Amino acid sequence: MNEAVYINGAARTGDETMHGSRPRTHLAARRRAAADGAAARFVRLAAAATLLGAAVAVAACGTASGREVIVYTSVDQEFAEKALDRFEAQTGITVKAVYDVEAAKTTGLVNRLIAEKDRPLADVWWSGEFAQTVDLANKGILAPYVSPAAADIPAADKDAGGLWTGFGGRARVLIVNTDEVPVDQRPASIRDLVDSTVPADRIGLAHPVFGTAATQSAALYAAWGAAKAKTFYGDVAAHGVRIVDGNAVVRDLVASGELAWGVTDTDDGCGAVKKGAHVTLIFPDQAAGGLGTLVTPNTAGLIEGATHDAQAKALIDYLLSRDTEAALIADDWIQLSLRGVQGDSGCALPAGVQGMDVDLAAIAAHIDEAKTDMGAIFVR
Amino acid sequence: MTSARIAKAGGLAAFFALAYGPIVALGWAAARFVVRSPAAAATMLPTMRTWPILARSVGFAAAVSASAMVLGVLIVTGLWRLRRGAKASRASRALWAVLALAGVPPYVHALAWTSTMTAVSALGVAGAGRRIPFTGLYAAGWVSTLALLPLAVALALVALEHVPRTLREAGQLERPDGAVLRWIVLPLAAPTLLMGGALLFLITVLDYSVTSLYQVTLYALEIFVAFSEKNEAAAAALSAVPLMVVCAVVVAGMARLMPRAMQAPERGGMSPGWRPQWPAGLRRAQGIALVVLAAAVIVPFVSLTRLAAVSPAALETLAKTTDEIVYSLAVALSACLVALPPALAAALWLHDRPRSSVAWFAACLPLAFPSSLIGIGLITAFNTPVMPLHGTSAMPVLAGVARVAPLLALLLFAQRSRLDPALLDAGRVFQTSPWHGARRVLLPLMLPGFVAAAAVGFVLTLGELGATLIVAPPGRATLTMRIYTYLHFGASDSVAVLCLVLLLAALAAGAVAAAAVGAMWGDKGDAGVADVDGAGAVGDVDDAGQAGA
Amino acid sequence: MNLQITDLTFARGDRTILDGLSLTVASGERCVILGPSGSGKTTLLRLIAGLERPAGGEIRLDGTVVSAPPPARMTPPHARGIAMALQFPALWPHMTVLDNVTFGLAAHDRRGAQAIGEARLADVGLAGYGGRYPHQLSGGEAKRVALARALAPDRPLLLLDEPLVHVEPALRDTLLAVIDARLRASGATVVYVTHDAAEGDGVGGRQVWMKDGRVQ
Repeated sequence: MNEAVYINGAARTGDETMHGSRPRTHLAARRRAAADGAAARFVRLAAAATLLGAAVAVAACGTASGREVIVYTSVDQEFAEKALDRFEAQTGITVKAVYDVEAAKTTGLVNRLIAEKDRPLADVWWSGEFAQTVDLANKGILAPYVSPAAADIPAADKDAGGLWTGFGGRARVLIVNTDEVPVDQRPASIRDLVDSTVPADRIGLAHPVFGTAATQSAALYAAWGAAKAKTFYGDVAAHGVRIVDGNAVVRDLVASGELAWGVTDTDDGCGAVKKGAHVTLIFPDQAAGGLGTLVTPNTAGLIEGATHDAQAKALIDYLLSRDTEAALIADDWIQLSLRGVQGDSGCALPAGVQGMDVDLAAIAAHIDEAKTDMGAIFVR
Repeated sequence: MTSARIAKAGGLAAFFALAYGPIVALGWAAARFVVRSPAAAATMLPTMRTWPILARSVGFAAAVSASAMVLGVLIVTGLWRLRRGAKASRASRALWAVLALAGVPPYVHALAWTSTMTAVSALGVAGAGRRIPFTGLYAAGWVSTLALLPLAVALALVALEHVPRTLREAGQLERPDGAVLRWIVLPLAAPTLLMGGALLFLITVLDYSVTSLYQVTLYALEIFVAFSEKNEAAAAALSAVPLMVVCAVVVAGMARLMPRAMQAPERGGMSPGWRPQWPAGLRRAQGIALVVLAAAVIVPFVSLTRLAAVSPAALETLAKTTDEIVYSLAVALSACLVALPPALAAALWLHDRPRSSVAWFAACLPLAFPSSLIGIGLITAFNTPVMPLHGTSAMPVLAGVARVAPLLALLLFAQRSRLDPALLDAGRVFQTSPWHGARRVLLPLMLPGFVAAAAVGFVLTLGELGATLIVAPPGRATLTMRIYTYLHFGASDSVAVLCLVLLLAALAAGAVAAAAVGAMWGDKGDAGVADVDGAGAVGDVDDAGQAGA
Repeated sequence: MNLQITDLTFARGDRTILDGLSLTVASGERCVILGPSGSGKTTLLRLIAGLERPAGGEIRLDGTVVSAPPPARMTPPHARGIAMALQFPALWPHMTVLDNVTFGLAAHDRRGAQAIGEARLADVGLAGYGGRYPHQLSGGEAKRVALARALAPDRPLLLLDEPLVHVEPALRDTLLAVIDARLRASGATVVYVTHDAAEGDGVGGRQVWMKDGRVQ
């Protein structure tokens, strides 16, 4: 067939050069002219596009100045942006932020920080939780800095070596669709995941390998001991509770009525309440002497080898201030305070939450073991 | 060595450096990690727990890519029936616009279908108060298949329309159209169809975003679990090895098919209107496939528009994300412009050794690299005192280049193969230098291929997340990153607005690609000329006889 | 089979290829169409075969309209009772030579079809070539296979488009004799397109000249 194709091509050319019937040469000339013109246009277009690209690159590098600070944050951009904008306005220091994305399971930034260890770009690490921060501290990514703004934060919520400081807090909370679950059937404990009158496939839990759901599993390991906690999660899996992609998904599915109730974070739950969804929030295990619920503080730390040291410390001081904590509560990012800062979360959370009686370091110490077990149990 | 040959060699070196650089850097880091802790080498092997996940991933990806390809074939052959005379080539070009929808990220389909199913449930279709269960493997399979459908249609179009017209017509003289399809068109299109299926397989098996939404755990998610458990990139790279081996096997299969699939097709293709008469059974199947395509297009559109229209904050969202939109467009444009010259060098290199499976394997293997590993690898390679590119906008551009360069090389190769050798021979006779010939003959003839490849590269870079996320410079974000942020925040109206922006950009690029592909197939844009071309083909038939006598 | 073409018009874009062409070929007649390059000979054959649709006029086979402008229904090529040798061999590369030749013999069982196919291959001097693939043939051999494929199904109307181009001159007379013998045996009507007047004489029958899309 190749031969036939070749004969075909050669014959065609032969005709064009030898016979050259008028309409076809005319057409060929038009095509050549079109191709030449198009080539010239293409070159101009390419030149313009290259200039545009170069302009963007220059713009990206051009703002590099001494008065800036680079923060990596796993806090949702919606909330973090507001707080960082206020910092810029107060201090005149330009903040360049790198945000995490849910799709990367909040591990994108941590891996990026680890990959950048030898030549860090970041100055400040601001996390919505503490487990990854403890891990970063253990890996030597963080540098000690004891902020004067953190003086009134309890010692249990700070690293003894000053590598990180906890502030504010979100709590694990049960989100219940009020149309789907009658008052007398509403859950009150984390154990209701395996002990509820509601069918298990209408109860939701974010994937326990990731995020605060993973931290919660580590907290149960710390509080109950590994064997009991592992059995509990095995029961959750066997019972058929729906394991979904994240706390926001739990919230959305409960709000839409697809799920009857689920476990999420207070920030996600408050979002649904404020949007007018038919849901209510219940802190689990609040009975006197009960387990209590997991309270996850935000954490902030200085990056080892930070380029903008002074600005970085200014940003950490700002994040740890009482004013910022109150503002973050007003913004709906956090709902609790570790030091009694008053703020209205505006989503009718039950007052006086009882936290779990385990310290952050103990939880962080269990996180690897818990995640490995959770992977084995839930990633079937 | 002439300067033209030096340029070709340099371009080829750049191609391999850009496409392999990140993974080689990460591989080096992983090797050092294994030397430090030899026990970690075991994570390269699937465990009792991960074997079933790997098997499920392969099965799922195979089923999804096969369904998408079968639907694609049914849709393309079904649409042939709708063609009418001179409008045929225009209809064929319009179908290319469907390709633009390939730029819609799969999670948008997931979002649209889940909300549609909820809305349908609310109508009481499944009985009062009952929900249509939309989760698990079948939901993930449905959404993944529909998300791939635009690409599958484009690939089926390429495969089926490149079957030489004369061979099809010779069959039509003797047997009904159904038999011609079964015995002639499909066997001739098979290598390209299989190759397209392999490409869809790679896309599906490396993606976890849709499946994890529907509680289906695939191996791609397992890699992220490894990231999450260990917070050690090298460990994640090791756990990705089994998946990459599977992908490499598929790429090896593609490399064997490639020389046949990419063979220079005869002129003409099917474009001047075959209006076949299909058997009733096939017509029914085509009808169903067309309904599925319509659903794949309409459901996301309607769902997004509905969400965006009811949003009071639509304009506000747009205003807030202007920076990201402009940045995304600039990064995507830069990435495809940077990728084109090396991809051209690779395409010409492949063209010089069309039957070398090794060359094909080398060029296509980067398609098997998971994007998150490319991101980490880029940092490993470029966050060094020697090459301190990390933290600049060069990084997301390089990430885009690493992702699209192999695909662009394939597209440019296809265009190079379509060129009439006689035209190039004539160029070589009359050129004053190889540069002169390349500039005045080869490159202008390949122009449609450049534009089509650039548009495809643009759309794919626009939707890239896994690698971009890890290397975006501080203070900068792309549109796709922003969409994921809103997705997490639960702001589905903002997601809808930004997805529509993405869709419009993809449609614009798709329109450019469609026009370019139309030109690639010989029908120029201006009215009438498209038809004259057909006469040219018939005229050739007459004339060839004369010249041969 | 009797072929009746009335006032046939065909154009591509602004270029008229057939301009009110009329032609009648009686059943069993041999009609040789001669004419210069670009005169529309091949287009005429494609219209008779049903590979193209006319813009005006009609084509009748045995009195039945098989081609007319829209909205009339076209009879598909395979249902017209025609066989055709296209100017390019157009052999299917994924089939053996024998499979190519027997493709149109769907009505026969496999064994019968193979016997006919082998006989036609022998007629064109390619006995024993059945197991080869098209890429193993020379250009002239491919043309002969295409001719064998056209002769195999014994259809009542045979359309031959430059069937002897690329065939070695020494073989041409032999092949003309083969065509002649088949036509005598089957009584089929033939429309034979060539630009070579001597070849046309060899076919015998009526000669028609075409120029600028019309019969002269």
